[in-house]
Amino acid sequence: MAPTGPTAVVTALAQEIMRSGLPDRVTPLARRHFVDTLAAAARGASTPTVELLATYLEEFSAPGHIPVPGREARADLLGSVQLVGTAAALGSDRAPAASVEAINLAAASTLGFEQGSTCQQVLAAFAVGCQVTAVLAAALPSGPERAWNNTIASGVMGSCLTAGLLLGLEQQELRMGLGIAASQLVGHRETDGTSTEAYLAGKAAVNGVHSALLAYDGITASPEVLEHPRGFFAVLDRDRPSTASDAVRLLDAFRHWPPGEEAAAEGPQPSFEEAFEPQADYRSVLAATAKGVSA
Amino acid sequence: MSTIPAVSSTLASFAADVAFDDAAPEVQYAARRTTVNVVALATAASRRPSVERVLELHRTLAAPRRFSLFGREEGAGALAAPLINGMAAHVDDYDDTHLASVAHPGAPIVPAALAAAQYAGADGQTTMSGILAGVEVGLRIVDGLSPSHIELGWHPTGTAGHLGAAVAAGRVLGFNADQMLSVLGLIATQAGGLLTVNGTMTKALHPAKAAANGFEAALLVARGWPESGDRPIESPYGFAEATSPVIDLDRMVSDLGQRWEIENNALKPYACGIVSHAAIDAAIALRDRVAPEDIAEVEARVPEIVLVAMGIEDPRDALETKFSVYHCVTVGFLDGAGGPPQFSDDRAVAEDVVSLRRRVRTVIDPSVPKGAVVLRVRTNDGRELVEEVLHATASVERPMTDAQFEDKVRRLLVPAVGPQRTDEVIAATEGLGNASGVDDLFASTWW
Repeated sequence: MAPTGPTAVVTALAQEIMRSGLPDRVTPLARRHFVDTLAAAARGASTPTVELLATYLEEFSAPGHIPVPGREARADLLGSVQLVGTAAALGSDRAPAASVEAINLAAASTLGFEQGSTCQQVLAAFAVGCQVTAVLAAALPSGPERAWNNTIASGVMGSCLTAGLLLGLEQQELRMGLGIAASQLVGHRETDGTSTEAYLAGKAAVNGVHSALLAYDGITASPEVLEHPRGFFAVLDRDRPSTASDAVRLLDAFRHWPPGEEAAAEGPQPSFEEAFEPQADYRSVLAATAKGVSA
Repeated sequence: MSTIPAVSSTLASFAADVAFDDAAPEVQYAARRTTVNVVALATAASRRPSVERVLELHRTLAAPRRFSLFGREEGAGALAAPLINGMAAHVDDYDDTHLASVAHPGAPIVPAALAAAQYAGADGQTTMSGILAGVEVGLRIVDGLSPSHIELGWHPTGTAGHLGAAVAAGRVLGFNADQMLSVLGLIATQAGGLLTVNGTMTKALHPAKAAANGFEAALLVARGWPESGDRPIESPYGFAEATSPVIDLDRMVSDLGQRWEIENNALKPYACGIVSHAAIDAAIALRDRVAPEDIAEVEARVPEIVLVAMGIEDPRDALETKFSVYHCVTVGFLDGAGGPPQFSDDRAVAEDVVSLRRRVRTVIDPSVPKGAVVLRVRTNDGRELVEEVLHATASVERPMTDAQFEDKVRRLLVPAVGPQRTDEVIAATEGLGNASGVDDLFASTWW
């Protein structure tokens, strides 16, 4: 019998989308968001906060091989995730800065480059990660008294799925990855509006990617972390009863993609957008975003 | 109208000023024992399978290996070193426990302090000051949130560990009060870890990530990372409110410098969750009065926290046995012990263990204090035997003697580094407060 808990449902649906592709009407929307967020990362790459992070990473990270949008120097895997997530948050004209897109772009772009994925694969993983992040965040309580930044906390889970899909994790590994990710939730609203909020966009993605890598290497965790009595919803929503109906609700929300209108472009069309064709090697797209290659 | 105590700034100022040399002898003694315990555990467990897996991943990430590991000469990157050392210190669940919060402070905090010391070239006294500051701040914060924090599902080792590791590293790097507040702000929003992973490899990742994230936060603040909000703990949008329904801010800052929570950090005699240690004691006390095959049923009356933390009824492997009060009672009866051999993959599924474990049941009894147990055995011939343990072996009320602690440390170290090198490791760790650095301590543990 197929598992029916929310964690199993979400991971199974994510894999199904990776296999069958994004719905036709979703693809252009996802592409627009991806390209816009990549451009935002390039814009945010020279901010003082990212410069500080970059000098820190240069001292302590491996020699980089992954291009970072808007920067000349390349970064190692986790360094790239941190820099791209932070820069995308800082370079965005939208609010909140630490957005669903910034977090999942960091995971999708870096893993896509590392794995030699096609643009289509990167886009699908990005879209799934964004959707899961948005669905989980929307399922949590909101309001002015809320101490959690729901987007950032949920982004750890979404970016884990983004990375896990590009790594080709099996469903059980994806579920373990989410279990590991839930133990690395970040994002209190006390930091909203500070440089740390942007840092947390990158950190959420780092924790998500790290969780997927650890699951790939066989590290075990709870495979039912969304619905577990002390799991994701239990700790982030004290009053929430964890029931099987959560699975149905999550499934419905997951399948309800945002309306199909084009996202508003942030500034002129980036030069690298033309290269963003479904079967193209994503490495060539990312390389074109680096400083000194193409503005 | 009551005012909200300035917890974050008060603890930041306190942490910046903590000096190991100025602490009372009994506080220094507690800090030394916490440190020796971590070094011995991390050295002995440095080749556990889950530790190897995480280390292998970080080898492929290939950061410059300038930082030291316990138990192996191979170096690791700035974040990988505290990560691996923190994981090894906790992977056997044999480390330490602050019972009031059920946090294990040594595993996340000692590795972060040592990494910072290696980076800064700090001397041993400064390193011990960092450990003292980190343990005190981390424990005080979660103590003020207990028990609602753990009851909701947070693992205090991960949450307190993040806070303490960042403070420890910051103290070693010489942070002033403003920098300490900044590092608290940067780390409080990352302080996580869920109890749902009890019985899996990820539990030991909690202190590991805490050590790594805490060290990273300190390195960023040392480079000028700006403030992340001036009330990261007590703000309505901060750590306390985000993680705990019931909050006692006053407790976090009361009697600072007078009451030292590190003195309440108990070192484990058994390789499992401390809230079940009394159950092992009780079973050991009863085993001479009844043979296992004559037991019809064992009833363990326990406080709720035991089932929150240790409620796995039918553990399938070593990791799960460590979170099963049913297994603890069983090996107490069968083996009269609770060391690492009792919490192995083999013992998890051994026929005699499974048979008796299925006859153990639990009752939540609010009248039983935390750390205590009432064990009632009904025999096949109708007898009833009762054993009540109020304070387990090696609890704060019945602390390990020096001889018992040395025995534990030697049992850990001798199989790893041999008897002669064991003396060197113990001497290097106990004497850390007088050392010029931490490199010799690490080197003494390599095998």
